Amino acid sequence: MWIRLQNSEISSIAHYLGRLMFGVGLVQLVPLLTAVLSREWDPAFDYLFGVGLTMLVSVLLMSLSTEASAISRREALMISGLAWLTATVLAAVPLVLSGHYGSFLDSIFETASGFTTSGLTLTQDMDHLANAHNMWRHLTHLIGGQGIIVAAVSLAIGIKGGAFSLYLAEGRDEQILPNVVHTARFIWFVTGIWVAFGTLALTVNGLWHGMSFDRSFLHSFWLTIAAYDTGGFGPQSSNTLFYHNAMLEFITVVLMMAGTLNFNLHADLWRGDKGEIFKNLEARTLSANLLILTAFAAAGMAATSLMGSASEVVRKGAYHVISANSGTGHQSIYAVQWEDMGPAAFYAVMLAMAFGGMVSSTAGGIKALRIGVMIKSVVLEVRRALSPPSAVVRTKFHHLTDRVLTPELMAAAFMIFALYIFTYITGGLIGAAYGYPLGDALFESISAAANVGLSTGITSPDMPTGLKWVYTIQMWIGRLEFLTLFALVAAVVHSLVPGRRNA
Amino acid sequence: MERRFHNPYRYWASGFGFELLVFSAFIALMALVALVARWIFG
Repeated sequence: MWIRLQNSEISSIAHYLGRLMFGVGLVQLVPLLTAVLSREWDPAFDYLFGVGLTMLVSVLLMSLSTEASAISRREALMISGLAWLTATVLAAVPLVLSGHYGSFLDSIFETASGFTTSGLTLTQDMDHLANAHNMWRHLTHLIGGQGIIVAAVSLAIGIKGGAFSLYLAEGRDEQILPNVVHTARFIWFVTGIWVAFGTLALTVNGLWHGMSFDRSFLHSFWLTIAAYDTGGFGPQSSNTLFYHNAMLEFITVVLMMAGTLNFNLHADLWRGDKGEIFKNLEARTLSANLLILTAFAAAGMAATSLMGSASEVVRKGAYHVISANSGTGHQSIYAVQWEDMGPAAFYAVMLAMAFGGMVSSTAGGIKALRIGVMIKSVVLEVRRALSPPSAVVRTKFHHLTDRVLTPELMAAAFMIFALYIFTYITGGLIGAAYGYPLGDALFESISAAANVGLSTGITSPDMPTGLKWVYTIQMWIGRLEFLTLFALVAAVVHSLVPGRRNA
Repeated sequence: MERRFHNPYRYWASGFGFELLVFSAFIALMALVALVARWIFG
């Protein structure tokens, strides 16, 4: 049954959207401060304008309703979907003013890539990008990775009676603590510890290798949040290849693993239940995926002439498998070198991207839990086929608690799997229609939809405008995992259809 | 067994240290798998 939005719902949605944009405006003070401290006066004005515009939009939206009323699940879905879209557009304003983007669409693509923790980039002359703009690009990973709603809920931005609905609408389902505000704050605590560790470790590593303190600190902070939030942006155009540093690659891979871990698992391990990581179906599935795909990648690379050395199979092969599977997208080769890795490695990395990391993390893709559930489902059906007709065959698995594999769980896993496959293939076919090789187009499509960010070179300022739109939409669909975006589109479309107000 | 909402901040340091250890060990295992695969197929 489709129900049209009422005026009271629209003003409530606008009000909460305004509150969330207020938070986005506040965060823009960080790149503004960075610009001032770095004596980057043009970027400082870009962020002054950005903060002003965002706050103006925020105030206008909040004024549509004078008080924050409790919100329904439907309103929560709308707010979540619109918050992501609105934040993407407003966050793009300082970037387009920087002059490093060919158009406003390019800067929208960049912020969409940032908030969805994809990492595909259209920045021009990135090696000369101001610290303030790099700070803002990487902060979009931090906000998007943790979740715009999570950020707002943890700050308890006056969200009455609908905090949990908003939280669920953003595609989160962790219930680490009884109160959603406390759960959101715990997620930030875990993030804070890992970001502090990563920044410290990489800064020391940078200083050891001769970087100046300020440059080492900034690069380390940016790479840390890009790796932990499995985003994949980097401050240099050649991404992590720029550094040619094995220790940096190792530290960032540790951060990627931390970022791809389910937040509920973090909570269990930090509560003292260390055994959980070994018996958890999702952890086992993820481990198996990584090891099998690494083996394929290394086997394929061993047969090549350029990438067959021991160092290459580890630092390029295994590195890119984990970068792909975690959804990070840090890349330590040039785009043209994917061909040198050989087809087995190329497709192993593609599969790693498609499979994705854990649920309730910053990773994208189909997710290890769903893959584990699907495998268990196949085994269950085989067992049923081999059992007498009167036998009752059930299977259990462990994911935080012991669970029975129900038809509902199986259906949900297969539905999302099908939606992802459809999205991957559609984007790939559209890329091929624009004239790109099918393999490259499929790789890029999966990279966008699974919010990874590895690139064969298709993503560039020169790519067709239509493809920029396609990848932007795919990044949003992947991050919000279909439901929120579909609900938003359905609600908007149905509200525009004349006729009966309610079905 | 039903999960209980125990304090997740209680053992955060040992939990963090344990994660660091497990991730490092797993990365080493991935590297080993890569090298073994290279040796078999090279």
